[in-house]
Amino acid sequence: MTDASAIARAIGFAPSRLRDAWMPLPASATDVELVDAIRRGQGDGIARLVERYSPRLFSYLSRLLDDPTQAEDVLQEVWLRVMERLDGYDRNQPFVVWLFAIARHRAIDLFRERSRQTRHLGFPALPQETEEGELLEPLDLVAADSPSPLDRLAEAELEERMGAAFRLLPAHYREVLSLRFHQDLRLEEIARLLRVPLSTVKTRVQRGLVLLRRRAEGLGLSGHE
Amino acid sequence: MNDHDRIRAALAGVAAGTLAPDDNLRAHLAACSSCAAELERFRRLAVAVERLPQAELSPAALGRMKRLAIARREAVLEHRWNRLVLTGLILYGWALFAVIAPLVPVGVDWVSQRLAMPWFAVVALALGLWWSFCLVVGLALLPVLRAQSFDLEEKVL
Repeated sequence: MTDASAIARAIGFAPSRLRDAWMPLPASATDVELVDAIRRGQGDGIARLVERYSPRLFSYLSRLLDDPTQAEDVLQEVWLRVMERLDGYDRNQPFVVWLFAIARHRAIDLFRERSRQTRHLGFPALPQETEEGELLEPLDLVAADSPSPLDRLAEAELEERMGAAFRLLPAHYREVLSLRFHQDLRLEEIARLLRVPLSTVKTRVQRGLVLLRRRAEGLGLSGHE
Repeated sequence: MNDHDRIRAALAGVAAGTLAPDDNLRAHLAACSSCAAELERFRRLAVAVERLPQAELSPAALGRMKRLAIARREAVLEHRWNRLVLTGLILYGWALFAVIAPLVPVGVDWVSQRLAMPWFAVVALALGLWWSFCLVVGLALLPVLRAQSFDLEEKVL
């Protein structure tokens, strides 16, 4: 089948090759405009799209997979899949949600290839948690009468503790907090991406924050003993 | 769960922006310093999460992503073009066959008279020549096809 392309290229007619448009795409081109440009065969649309979303996707995948090396491999596969499926993209759906959904599915595939364990190895479950880190009882907040350990930590140390505590969260809490706080996605977009009701997203964000606080205070307490 | 406990349970949602504080909550926070302090702690936690350092993609990796994406898109377009051409060739072949089919018995009869051969021998000879032609053309194009697939692999890698 490829001989048709060889003949076409030999005579200077190659509709299968990308080309640069005579007028470059504007810097403010929207995602849909870039997708349309790529569908018309403009190569610079691909470069612009990759530049625009690779940092965000890499950040998201790094948080989700907790491994920057694997995140880079997955990101590579994501872009290959995007290029294959771009013609099937529905313009009525936000492009960022469609893109992150592809990344998420690839990350889930990777999770399935790994162990099924979702909790960080070595971190014991608290009495009121399941092995998945889900809270069994209503929120048990730290009493506010005494100063919280968080109050005693300097800001830099707080960030360090936060980073360590964040990595200890179960994957589904890490994911939703990352999408909410790092990717600037609206709650409705997150719900669409995760294919869960909006109320579930809100609950996960709320519980994730509470669990993160527990992890952080647990790390902070152990440091002050 | 009393009103105080219910409000305490909602503070994480308020800090995360998933829950809008109503008048009841605002009034309670204004009156209860411990709950107000708790909300402030959750807000600090949310800010700390936002400030977590982000993993950065190296420029070399970004450049590689672009090249791979462009190569894959070209491969997709090439595959689509090849399918289009193949479909066109198949349709052309069938159209040609439909046009010349009535003339085949006339042609076979004419050739068999000229060569003094029975009609089935003429048909066998014609098929043999046609298949030989296809074999020669296929063998001639084989190096080109192999070079094409190698180029594609090189581009993707």
